[in-house]
Amino acid sequence: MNQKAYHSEETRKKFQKQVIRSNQIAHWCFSLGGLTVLASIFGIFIFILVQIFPLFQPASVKKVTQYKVTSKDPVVIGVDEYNQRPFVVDRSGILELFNGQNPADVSSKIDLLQLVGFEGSLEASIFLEDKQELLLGSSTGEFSLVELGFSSEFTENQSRTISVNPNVVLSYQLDADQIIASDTSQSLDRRVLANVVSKGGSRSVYAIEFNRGRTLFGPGDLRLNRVVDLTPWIDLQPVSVKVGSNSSDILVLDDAGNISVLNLSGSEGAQRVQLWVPSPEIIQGKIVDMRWLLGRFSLILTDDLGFQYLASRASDSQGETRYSITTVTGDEISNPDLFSTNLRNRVYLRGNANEVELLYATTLRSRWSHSPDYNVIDTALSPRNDALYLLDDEQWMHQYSIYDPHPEAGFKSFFGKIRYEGQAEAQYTWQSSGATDDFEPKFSLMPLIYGSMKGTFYAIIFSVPIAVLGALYTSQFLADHYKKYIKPLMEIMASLPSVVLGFLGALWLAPIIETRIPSVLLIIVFMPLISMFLGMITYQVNQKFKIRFRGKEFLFLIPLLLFSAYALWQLGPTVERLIFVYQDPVTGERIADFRLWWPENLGIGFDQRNSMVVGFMMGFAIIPLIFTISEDAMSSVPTHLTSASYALGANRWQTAWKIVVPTASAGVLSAVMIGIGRAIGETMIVVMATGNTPVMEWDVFTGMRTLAANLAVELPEAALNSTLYRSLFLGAMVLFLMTFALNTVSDIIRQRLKLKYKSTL
Amino acid sequence: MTYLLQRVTRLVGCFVFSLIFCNIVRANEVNSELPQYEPVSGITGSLNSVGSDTLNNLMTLWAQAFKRYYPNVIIQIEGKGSSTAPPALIEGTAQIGLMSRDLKSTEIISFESRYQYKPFKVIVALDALALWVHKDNPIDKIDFSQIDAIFSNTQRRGGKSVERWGELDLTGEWQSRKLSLYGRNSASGTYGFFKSVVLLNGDFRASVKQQPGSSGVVQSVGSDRYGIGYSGIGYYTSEVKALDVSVDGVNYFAPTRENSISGDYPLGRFLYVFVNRTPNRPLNRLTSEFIRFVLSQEGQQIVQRDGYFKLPKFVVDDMLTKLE
Repeated sequence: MNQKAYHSEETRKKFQKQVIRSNQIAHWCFSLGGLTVLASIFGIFIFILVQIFPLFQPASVKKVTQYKVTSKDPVVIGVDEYNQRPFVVDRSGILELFNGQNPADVSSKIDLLQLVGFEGSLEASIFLEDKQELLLGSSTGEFSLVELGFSSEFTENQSRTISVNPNVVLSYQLDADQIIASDTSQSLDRRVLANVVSKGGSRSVYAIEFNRGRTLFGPGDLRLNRVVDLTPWIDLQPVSVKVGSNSSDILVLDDAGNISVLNLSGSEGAQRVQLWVPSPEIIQGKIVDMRWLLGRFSLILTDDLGFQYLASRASDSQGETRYSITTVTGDEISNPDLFSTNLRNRVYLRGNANEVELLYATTLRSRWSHSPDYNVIDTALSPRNDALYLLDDEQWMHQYSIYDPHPEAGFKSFFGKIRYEGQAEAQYTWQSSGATDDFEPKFSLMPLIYGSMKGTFYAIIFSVPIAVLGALYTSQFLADHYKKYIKPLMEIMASLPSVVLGFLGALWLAPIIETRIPSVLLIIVFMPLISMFLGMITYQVNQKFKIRFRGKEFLFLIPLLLFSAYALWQLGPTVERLIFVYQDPVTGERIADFRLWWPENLGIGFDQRNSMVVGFMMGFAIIPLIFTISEDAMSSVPTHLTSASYALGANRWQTAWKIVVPTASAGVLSAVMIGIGRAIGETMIVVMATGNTPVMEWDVFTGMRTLAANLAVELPEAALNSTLYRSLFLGAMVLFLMTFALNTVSDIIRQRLKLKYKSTL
Repeated sequence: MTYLLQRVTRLVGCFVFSLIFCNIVRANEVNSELPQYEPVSGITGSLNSVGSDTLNNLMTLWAQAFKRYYPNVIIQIEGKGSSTAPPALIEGTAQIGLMSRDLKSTEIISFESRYQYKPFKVIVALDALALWVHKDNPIDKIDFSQIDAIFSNTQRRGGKSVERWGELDLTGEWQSRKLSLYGRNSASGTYGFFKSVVLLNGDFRASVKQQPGSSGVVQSVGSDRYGIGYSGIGYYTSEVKALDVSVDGVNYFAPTRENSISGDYPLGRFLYVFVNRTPNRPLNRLTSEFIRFVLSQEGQQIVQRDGYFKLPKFVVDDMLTKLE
């Protein structure tokens, strides 16, 4: 035995030094660890900030180059989707194509009049961006649809060249002198063209319908079906005509600013479904122009004072779907006769000779505006909204590049109420993606924030009473012998994966609860009452007996409680028959079903995947958390306090309630807060056990979509750096801020409580 | 006794033999036109596939059968929804993108901004989107404007909103029951296809319960008596039934292969595989062999077995020439 070494002064000092050094090292390690944690949290915060920052940036537009135009009298300008072949069509039918890669190159020309065989010059011609077609109208009443036929080819060194092969889709000669306005739209099985024409000084409107066969392997050839004279349905002089998506609606604007909505059905070949007189309370002047936005469901109307209005077809109060104005632009620009849309989003361009402006149609918010130092006579937006072409009156076409990846974002889109296309009123909606490009994305975070709070609320009201009271019982009343087993058991419960809980909730619990709601309600109401009643009875029994069973009361209580729960469960259907009877309004039949009674009498929905199921399952996940932490807090209340209380004659309950609970309150509060934090961030249970419905109702029997679940569901589909991707990060930020605020508040309260009931002396 | 046993065994043997034989004959009838798959040598490596949940089962079956030819090939499959395929293809985390809808132009743009060219599209199977109701539900047909009135809140087909089964002319127990709606999550191609074809790009109601997978939809409808939902036909179970569908409310068609090919059943669609193929260059051998396998008789037989519809010969030929 080398005992001497330990006792010598030298080794003791050496040892002391060693201890101090290790202490120092440990101190450093812990500080470093703590700082790393702080730094990573801060880093995550910065990362999320960087991700969401571009959402709130305006568009950036820069002039790139300009092309010399040789055509004298341009009617249409446009560009292909790669911005490589900008083109101009002039009145004499010459299609002049430029080379986007070499703007200085001499342009190539194609004679369209020769291609389609028109006699006169071009009138009322438009470029249909969505199909890359030119709809040409002639001064002799003939019109023709020409497909531009852009196709890209790759050379050996992988550079793209665009070739153009114009091809006539169809031509038709109308009995008229001149074409004033025309439009076309197609659906799977037909294509409708509509024209305003003049003949001998009077105007008329024709619709020409082509049919085609439809198989899964693409549409068949177009066959002329019928020509309908729509003039009888128009009261005044027609000015402009538009054909809606799916070729169903034909809108004719007359010179009084009223719009007749017609469709090609009914026995007379057509019928007027709506005479749309825009309400004078909303519009300032007289409507003089209408243009489709991407998708042909929303219109931009312009009045003679230069104000613009966003309109779409929506259900009105009678449940009829009618066109109406949904949003008004904040500012006007005088005489905005220039208009262009793109194929990628709902950004459109408006302008007059001296000013052009880019707007996002859903909110009619300006993205960019510019007053060029030349007179603009025509404009085009590139299909991908990455370039802008302005044609001036001195035969120059100016090209600008646009960088505006997130026009749909903005504070209002995320947190404000917006009236979307086709909706009867402004609302908070989350519907982030559609299958097609003309989809209007809806990024309101409100339903998600709401969902997070709702899920947490139901989880908390279910779990906090059970967990905290359970902890109180375990720490203060339960015999030590059983205490040993309870805590590890609860910890095992905490280790259940939340996917499993979610799965159980969705496919096992939800269908059971759905049919037995009254039973569940009975249990929720009567179980606490029954336990109190049983407690009262045990209070009356013989003292000796009571002391013998001190801390083991649950051995009697649990079977009794289980039995009463079973009885209540069985009683449910009877109660349902007595109280929750729904009378069918049609047959007068009386059906005892809570699922019918509830929506009928309270006017709110009932879903199988509802908040109750989520509350239960999420409660299951957080009860062990809250339980263990509050149990620790209550067990660590110093025995000198409880002993003093007992010594002064207080009984177990008085001690627990007056001494233990207040002293441990800081700990219990932390437990509850940790539980709430877990519930807010809980993902898998919510994803699986709810329908992920972004509804905004507090009701117990409807579902929810939480911020966390939304992230899990949508992140895999979000393209890197897309608006959806960044919006999801914004959702993450909101979640972060919510938990941050919650934790801060709870910590402040905890500190106060700690000071008030200082115990850990 | 022994004699009897012999007789029985022989009978059973005959029966089993005839069953197998008949099946082979029938299978040959069905697939006689499609090319047989001929394995080549030297195929190894790993193949990652990301995308459509509709195609998930099918992909697993293909992968199993493909690995029988090439045991050294490792195939990983992840199916969370069609919209997950383009990001994976762009980032290069997958060689194969499974999709139940065509690409959107925004997806093409992001692909092109990385690679200059468009992704290469291969049609691999036919599907019919089915409308499922619980097997006890007496309804057996439905038209587009009714479906729109059930699932959308924009009602672009002009019908009035439908809340209860009674509004679809069901009587008795069903009359006053509310419809319980099930659909797919927005990452899914099925969601997008349904939205564009049936709702004319209108909006879904917020009350449509979004399920993360097609099997989730079918299971939920099977366990919810008043439920209605949509998913690919391949997920059929005995708990649900598929409705006949009509566009115009006059002619109703069942979701069969013939009706889908002819276009009579309006919810027929293609299922796609997208790959990253540089123009003017051959596709990498493993991917190309896999696609060749999928388009072969055996691959298409698997399609049929999984409940989807095999491709007509001319589509397969077209795809194979494009692949050259």
